[in-house]
Amino acid sequence: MTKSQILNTLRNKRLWILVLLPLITLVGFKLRSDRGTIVPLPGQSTDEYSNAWVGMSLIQTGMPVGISGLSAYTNQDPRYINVDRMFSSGASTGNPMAINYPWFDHPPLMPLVVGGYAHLKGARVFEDASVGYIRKPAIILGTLLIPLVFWLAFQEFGLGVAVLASLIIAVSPLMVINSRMSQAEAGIALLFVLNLIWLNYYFKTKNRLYLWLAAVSGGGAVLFKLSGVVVALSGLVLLWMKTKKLAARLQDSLVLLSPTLAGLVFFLAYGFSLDPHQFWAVFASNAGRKYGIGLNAVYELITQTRVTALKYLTDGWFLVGWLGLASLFSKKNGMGIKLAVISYLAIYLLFGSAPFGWYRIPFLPFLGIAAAYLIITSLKDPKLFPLGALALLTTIGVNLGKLFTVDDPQTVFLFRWGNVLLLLAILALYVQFATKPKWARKISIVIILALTAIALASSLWFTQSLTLDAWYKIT
Amino acid sequence: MIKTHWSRVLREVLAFWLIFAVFTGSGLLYLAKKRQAGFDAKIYEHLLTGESRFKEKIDDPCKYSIVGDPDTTEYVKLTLKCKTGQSNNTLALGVFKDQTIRGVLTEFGRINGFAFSPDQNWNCLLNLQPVKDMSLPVTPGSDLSCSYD
Repeated sequence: MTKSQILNTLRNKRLWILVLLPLITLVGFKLRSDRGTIVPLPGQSTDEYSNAWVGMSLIQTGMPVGISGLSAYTNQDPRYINVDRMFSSGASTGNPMAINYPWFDHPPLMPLVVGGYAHLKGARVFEDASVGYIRKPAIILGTLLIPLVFWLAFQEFGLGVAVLASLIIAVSPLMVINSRMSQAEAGIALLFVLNLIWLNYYFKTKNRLYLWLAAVSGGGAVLFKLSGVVVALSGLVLLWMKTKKLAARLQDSLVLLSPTLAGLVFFLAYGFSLDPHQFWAVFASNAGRKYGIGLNAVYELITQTRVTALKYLTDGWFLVGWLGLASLFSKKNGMGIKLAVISYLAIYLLFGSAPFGWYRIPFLPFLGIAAAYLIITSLKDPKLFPLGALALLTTIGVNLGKLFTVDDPQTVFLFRWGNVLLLLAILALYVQFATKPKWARKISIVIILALTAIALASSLWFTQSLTLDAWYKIT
Repeated sequence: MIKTHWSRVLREVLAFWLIFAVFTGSGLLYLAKKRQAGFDAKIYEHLLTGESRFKEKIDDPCKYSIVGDPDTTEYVKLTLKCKTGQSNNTLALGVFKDQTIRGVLTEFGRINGFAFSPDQNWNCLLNLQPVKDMSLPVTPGSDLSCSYD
């Protein structure tokens, strides 16, 4: 091959996508499935078992039986169902599970996915629904999110952001841990990203099939959880911004909202066909829950990353994501990403309820893309170079703080002087940019790429270090 | 042009709702028939208490404990003493359908995966008083201590 042929091959985006994307997805899958059944500890969220049991009981008997504890249920049946010996592991508080039926806390799609998989694997009684089975669908959903994030980021910002965003989602400790848990939010996050992908194709091609695919994504999200209504609403706002004529807006809105409305109608019909009084009582009770996220919810959302109600897993990528989002607001592009985060923030604050970490899952793919955008933009725009470098130092610092201690003088020496030298270099380069010499730009690019590689590698290292013992030490 | 667009959109939406109605109607009907044929107290009990074939069966009653303290005043403190060790448990009394000594031990055995039988060599103290009759009731706040040979 000649030099120009080699260069042309390297410039071929499709080739990069064909090589990189499966590799990144495979890494993400491996991280999620290794130790997927032991971290988080089985029983730290009984929602996982509840989802499986509702699905299994629906499939076997037509009656959804699950865990709730809402006082609105007539059938309150406390039981010790010692699946995975969770009552002996310390994950549980010692309280029996509050079994209720017919179970109406949420629509039945996630239970059917999780419980259906368990049923296919031979689970016939509730004790059979071990995390070895019920986490697999969640791991698959979490893995599928990686190429979808790539795809969306590629549509919005190009190859560089797509590669980095998918890498962040693949190796981020918070994303990996969350992807293991059988929570409905995993389905919502997937469909939220898919909805935007289809809408982008619709805006580009005006092919109505894409509009219907986006609409069905919205409808599916609502069947995972009612908060999934955000998918259609966010898509609707985007549609109105991108479509000028009122008639076209109304026509497309009718299409986009129909499956979501159908999802809500289905849940109502499902509930009323089982027990209308119980369904209404549970709905009213859910609506009247204590506002558990607190009045400082937005501050906590940005500064703290919960995994469960009580376990925190600080992950710098998503803090950088909020910074990236802030920088995106000054730009015209990425409108879908911005609307998605703001819309879900509204839903998150509206629903309130409890500060469980999994309620934040739908933010994460978009914050991952925003973080990647900030870093890639800092490669291209000299004015943003210090911000990109500082953002990466944040993530690196968070990861290194978990991997090493400050008791080792060598580590402290390297960290202290390494950072000082780096910051001096950043300052010197930033000053040089005023006269625009090429060598300054090249060095800044090398610095950003090196810091990105270190940040990703340290995230991967930290994720791999999350053994059961390490998990117990996390508070 | 606009009327053509509206008629096409309305046809698409109507077709969607028809398909949705058919699927929803048949799905809910199927579930209703399933419930008629397949859900009663016995089946419900089997779902909740059926033994998992994947769960480890143990012959040492003291191997595992139920950790934690239930948020209720209606509890039973159950201590099992074996040659291999001791198992300390605090359980919500409300979960036991049969609130006798025999009932508590049988259900505890089911929870932990060992088969309790009154024919086994159990010596129990209920609130520090020795008991021979396993059909004695266990009241809230009781302290039940049983040794197993």
